[in-house]
Amino acid sequence: MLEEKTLRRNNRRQAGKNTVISVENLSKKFGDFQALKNLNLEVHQGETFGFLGPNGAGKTTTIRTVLDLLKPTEGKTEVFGVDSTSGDFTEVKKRIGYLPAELQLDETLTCREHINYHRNLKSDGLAQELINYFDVPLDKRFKDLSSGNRRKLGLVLTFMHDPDLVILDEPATGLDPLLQQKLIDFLKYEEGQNKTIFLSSHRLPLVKKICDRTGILRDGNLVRVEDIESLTQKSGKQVQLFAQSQVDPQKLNIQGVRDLNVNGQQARFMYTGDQNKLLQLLNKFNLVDIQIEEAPLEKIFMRYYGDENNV
Amino acid sequence: MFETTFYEMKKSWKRDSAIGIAMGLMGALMVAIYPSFESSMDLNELIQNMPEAMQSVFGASTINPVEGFLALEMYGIFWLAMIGAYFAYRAGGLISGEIESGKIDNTLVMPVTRTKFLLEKFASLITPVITLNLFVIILTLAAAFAAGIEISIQNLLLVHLFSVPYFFACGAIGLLFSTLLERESSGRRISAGIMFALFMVGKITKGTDFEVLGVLSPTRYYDASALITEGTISLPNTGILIAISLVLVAVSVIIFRRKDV
Repeated sequence: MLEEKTLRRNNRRQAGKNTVISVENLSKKFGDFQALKNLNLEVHQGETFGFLGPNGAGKTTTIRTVLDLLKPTEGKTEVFGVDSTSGDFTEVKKRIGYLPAELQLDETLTCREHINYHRNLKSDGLAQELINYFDVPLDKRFKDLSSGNRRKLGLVLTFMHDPDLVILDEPATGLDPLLQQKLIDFLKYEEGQNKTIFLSSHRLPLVKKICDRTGILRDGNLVRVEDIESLTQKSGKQVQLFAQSQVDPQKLNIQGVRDLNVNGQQARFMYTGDQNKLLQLLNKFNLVDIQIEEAPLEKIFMRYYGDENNV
Repeated sequence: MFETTFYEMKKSWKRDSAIGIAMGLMGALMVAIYPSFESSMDLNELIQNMPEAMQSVFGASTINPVEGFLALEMYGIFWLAMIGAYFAYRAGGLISGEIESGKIDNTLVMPVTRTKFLLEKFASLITPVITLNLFVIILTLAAAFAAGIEISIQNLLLVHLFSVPYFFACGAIGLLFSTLLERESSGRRISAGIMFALFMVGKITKGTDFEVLGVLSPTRYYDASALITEGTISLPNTGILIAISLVLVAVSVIIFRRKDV
């Protein structure tokens, strides 16, 4: 799976090294609050870039500056080689699809009326296909939509003009697992069409499933940009087990285990390393229950990036 | 072309029609009750006994048939001040409301410039301009016809025709504050308050040593009472109203283009 992904990514990289999004020395202040600090970033054609960071890190501010909704305090942003603040950017916007973290539309109009408004301002080559794919209730008013249906409408509005660059801000928010999978399948299809996808998230699993590279943002600083494999290796798993008898902490004292917390028959720890060795380790216990989850993003930040950046 | 204007019109036509009908019913009511007022008191005497400044506020020096009564009861204050303030209030949320709610993200990421967006939002005020004028004309005429009262159709049409640049000027004041302020409620309230203050300044200072204070008030350039009673047209005043709108819209565009949204 991982090899296939690496191969796919390398193919895309060879196919085009054109820069689609360029962020140069970008700083943004709101009054005295420094939201972004000297940010530098490039996203290339055909890649799926994950912008990771906890809430309030500056992900949305970066996206909104790239889209000319916010003006840079210092530095500049370009999309397809055009400065976001220039007059020519209007033309560029025909090639961009954007899904905000929380879609806000007029409450009284129906999905159909919202789609028609977008249809009048941009082309709608894919509208009908997307309406069918995401099963959008066309005649429901926006105020009557569930959060999932709002997300579906947002996805139609984002992709209906078949954009070359798609910017998704927390795309999985409000989606049930079924719809999340549908979105992932759709994004993978878009990847295959050499589209550039830039998505922000504070949730690692989605990013790991579809992204080639990640940029990690914390408190307005771009802490690191790295390949998804590297991040996957570092991120590890959070394990919680419940055994039939008292857990001996010594049994869990192997390489890769950290943050160990034992309480009678229960143990909780983080594990980074070979997954097979983790299974061998768990086999030492007579288990009643077990949970293995992706490590929370905050833990990864604290372990790998906290000290060196002093953030 | 005008995609955003049509989108806004679609959103507001029902509400605007309801307000238009309410105002129209008020006009109809005024016409309907006019005969009983005419028979019960001498309205000319009433007006002439008022202080000069108050006569100016009401805008009618003589109450001569139904047009004078309408000038006194409706066009002189209510139409000029309340509806003018309503347009300022309405426009005060045009941009600030979009920003505060976050709806603007969805629009400005489409291939539309901020200038076009702002102009089309401003142009969407045409919906209440049309519905208000249309319903008031229709219902007032219908009431006059039903009650067998003779009313000058020409003057009635003139007072409504020349209200168009006036209401857009009031809207332009609101538009300016909607680009300056961050919150929709502030944009609306401040715009309406300023519009009402301008009405008072424009009217009360007329003919006094402080008349110069009223030159910035749009109410100075739209004499609804003179239009309904005498059909007096002032094209220079209409030109000034259009100029006020153009200047305020241009300043709003400059502010909006530089603004974080």
